[in-house]
Amino acid sequence: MPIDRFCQRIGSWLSGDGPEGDVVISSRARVARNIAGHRFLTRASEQERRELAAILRRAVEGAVSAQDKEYFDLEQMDPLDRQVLMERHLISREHAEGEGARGALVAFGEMLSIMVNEEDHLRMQALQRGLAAEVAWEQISHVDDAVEKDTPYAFDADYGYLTACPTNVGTGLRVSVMLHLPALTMTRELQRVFTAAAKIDFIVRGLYGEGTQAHGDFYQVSNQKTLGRPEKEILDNLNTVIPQIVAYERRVRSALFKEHRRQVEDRVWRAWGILQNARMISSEEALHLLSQLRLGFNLGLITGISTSLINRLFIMTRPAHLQKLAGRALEAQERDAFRADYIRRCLAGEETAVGE
Amino acid sequence: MKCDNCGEREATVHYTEIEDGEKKETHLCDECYREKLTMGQKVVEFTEVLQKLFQGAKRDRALMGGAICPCCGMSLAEFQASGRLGCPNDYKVFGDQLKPLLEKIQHDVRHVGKVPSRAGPEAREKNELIRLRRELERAVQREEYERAAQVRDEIRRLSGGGDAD
Repeated sequence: MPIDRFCQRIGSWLSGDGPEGDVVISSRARVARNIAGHRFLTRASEQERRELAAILRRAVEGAVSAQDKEYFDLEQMDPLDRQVLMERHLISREHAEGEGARGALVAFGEMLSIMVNEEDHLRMQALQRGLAAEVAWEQISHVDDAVEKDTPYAFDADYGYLTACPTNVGTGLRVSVMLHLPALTMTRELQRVFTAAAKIDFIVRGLYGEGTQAHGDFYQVSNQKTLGRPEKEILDNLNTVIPQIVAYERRVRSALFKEHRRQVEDRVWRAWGILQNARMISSEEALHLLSQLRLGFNLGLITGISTSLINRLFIMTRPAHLQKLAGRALEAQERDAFRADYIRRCLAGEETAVGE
Repeated sequence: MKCDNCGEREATVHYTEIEDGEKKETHLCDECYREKLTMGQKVVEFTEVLQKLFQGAKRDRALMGGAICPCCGMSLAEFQASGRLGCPNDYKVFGDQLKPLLEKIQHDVRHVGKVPSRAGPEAREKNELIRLRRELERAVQREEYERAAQVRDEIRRLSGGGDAD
């Protein structure tokens, strides 16, 4: 099963640092598209939905040339496998938990994913390491052009790309960056980040997007509006504000380190101690400790590990991934034990992944 | 000191707000503080805007003539309830109601930015396809097979000889 192969590695957008990698984990550009001559999925009959799934699958498989492309028929898949795709940020929670004919194409080492029959006929996203939203946009726009060649989109001169929900109409573009802001969280300076983001119509959310809470000092910043602003303006706004947030986080990090070195060191080394020795760790605690570990690594306190390793621990310690690693379903308590064991083995260098 | 919000965890964030000339002290734990921050964002709540806009519209229901899309069969009331449109043609049918909504949530009503590289097919024809597909389903349901065959031919003709199934 291709899903099992997935669990042996991490997406290439998570293997190593990108631009501003000490603060910016990844960038994503996503477009929503619907094809002309069909109802939106909200209104489509089961038969049309099935028809659409077939048409769209053909269209995206034809448009994406990557050797490693893989199409997942989500309707036929085990719920756990769908959750694996969700934990890897390749499909949305709604798509994983939804019903009916639908799918996802994943390619280029997980840097590209296309959801078929989500809320819109197509939701296509490109992921990049670090701060590289522009690159992500160029890539997804390129795929967009290729799909459109044989599959005309529902487009209107006034409203742009037409979407099921009016909150996506226009460019259909959502760009977002995932940020690690431990110092700003610690010093309660986050309010300024939210204000800066709001000024350019960007919004701050938790790790898995809409409706999720921030955990372990990770935040997702994305544009709110899709109509009346060209893609370039959205990207320019992002590229103005994110570097400011990055500089701010760095400033506070070094100030903290200078003035409260003991306390910072204590936090980091305690996290390191727990991760290396604990026998049970919950999913939330893991996020929290790994956040401290990432901070310690970026401050140069902890050496001998890599960004890829930390990222791998983030992904692999999510519930569905753990169960794939274990090869069986695990109860919550068993998961906590299995998670702690896995983390200990990784930090001792006993577990490696493909491509690290 | 316990957190004002959850009353369980230890309060770690303390601040004073002045509201109507009165000082108000707040003590929160880390988690509640973060939640407050996230919730405090001025997000234009889409469903809320939707409800408000249509409250006025309800009174003039007669005026709107209970607009229904001829292509997908979506009614304005259904859009109001779900917040999702049924087909591309709805943007035309419900144009008058959509514009104020878009102004509220998008602060704009006109697209600028990328356009498809080639001129798409006539929107009218494409929307007719949507109507025909629905008619086909209805004809099959009612076991009007002669009519279904006619509609299927029409779909085939409009979609340029491609398969209609």
